[in-house]
Amino acid sequence: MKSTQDNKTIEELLSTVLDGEASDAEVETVMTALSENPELRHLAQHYQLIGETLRDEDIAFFHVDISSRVITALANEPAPSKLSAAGTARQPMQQPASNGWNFWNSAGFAAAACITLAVLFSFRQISPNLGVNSAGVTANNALTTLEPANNSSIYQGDAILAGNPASDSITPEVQELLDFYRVQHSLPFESKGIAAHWQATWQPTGYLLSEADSMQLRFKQVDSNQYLSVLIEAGDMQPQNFAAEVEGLAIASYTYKQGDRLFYITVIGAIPLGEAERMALSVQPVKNLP
Amino acid sequence: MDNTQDKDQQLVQRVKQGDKQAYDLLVIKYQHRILRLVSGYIHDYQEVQDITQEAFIKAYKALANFRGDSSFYTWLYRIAINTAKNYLISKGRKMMESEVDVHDSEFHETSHALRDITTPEGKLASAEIEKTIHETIGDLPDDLKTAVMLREFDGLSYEEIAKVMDCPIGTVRSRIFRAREAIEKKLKPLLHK
Repeated sequence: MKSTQDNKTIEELLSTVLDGEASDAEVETVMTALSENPELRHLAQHYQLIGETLRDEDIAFFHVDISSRVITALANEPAPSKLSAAGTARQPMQQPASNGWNFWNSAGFAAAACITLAVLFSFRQISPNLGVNSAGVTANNALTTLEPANNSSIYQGDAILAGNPASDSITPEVQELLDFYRVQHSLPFESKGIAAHWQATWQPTGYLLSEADSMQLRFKQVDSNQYLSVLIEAGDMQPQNFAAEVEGLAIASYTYKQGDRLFYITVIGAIPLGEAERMALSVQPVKNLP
Repeated sequence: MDNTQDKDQQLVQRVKQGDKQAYDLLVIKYQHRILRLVSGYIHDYQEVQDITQEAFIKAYKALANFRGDSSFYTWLYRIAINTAKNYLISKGRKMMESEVDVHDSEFHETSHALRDITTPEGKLASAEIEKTIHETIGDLPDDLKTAVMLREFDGLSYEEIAKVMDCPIGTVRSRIFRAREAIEKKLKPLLHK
């Protein structure tokens, strides 16, 4: 039986842990105590409630505790581990969120017998003003190079990434966003840069290619510090055609197929969604891929 | 400055090593914030809880890929918003008018949405809790009151509070705990009614 003094000590440690001010050893002690004494969980909740009230937060959900449900649901889950490029436990894709229109309709994209026409139709519906791009390739021409993407796993490989593998200058912000995007869409996380040859045949006005590294093609807006990134990865997932705005950034992802290989093109940038999509469509290999 | 960003990493690291107890603590810590956030998108009380639960589960499964470039809460916040949005889209529903802008609403409160889904009894209980907590803190000795307010309201670290109050960090820690302890003593009967 723990003494009152012991309990006080543990409670003080719990208070400290919740404030993020405890040492590793103290966290360990609290974790052990929590597993032995359910009352401490209630105490943690009460401390949280006190903090929320003092911060004038709305406490309408004060009586709701979903933590037990979460832990129960995770009972059989292993420790979180990184998804691998050849991950085996991925779930079927859910139609992703999209603010505004969603021409990357995977159902239409994959199911139609004449996929190119389907995409062209959608594309024209949404972006009727597309013209000849800066490289002299129309967006529609780019589309016509696409073949129907196969739903089966085809390519078991590392990410194929554009540019020089020695460089790795992707910004933490973009990486975080990309990770988040991947979480949402169960895309592979592991990326190993290898030499590859990709180019965007169209980019938004005012953006120029500034660097190509192991992770991305990076474009910088002239006279500003705005960047947009184009990431290219190989994978074995179902086609992922997707567009959304997240945190003020447009994300457009498009599955490029060459032979029996699938490549995920993802454009991320503070540009209009339509431009991100158009740019994703314009990305293609400069020459035969390794 | 709030240093809990770094300190959540301590719990996050433990979760990554398989410590679900640590994740439990993170859920306890942020569940009400996420519930409030999700209620900005979804009106139904039960659905708000379900989506919040789903967001926490999704976050757990993806935690290995959280690298700490942003705070854990920011990361969780994004997942919760997208879980809510995906849910609405899957149901063919439109976003509520109160939809928050992720970019500039890191700690956006959605009180007006909450008012729509809370019961009169719940509101009454909330009001009683708030009154009790504010009254109790008003009765605390100044050193305890100041310490806990600097922590909870101003988000200062223990080290910063120690400087402000010109006392050792250990004293800060003790004062904050004693303040919480005193408030909790008055609060507990209300929560166990």
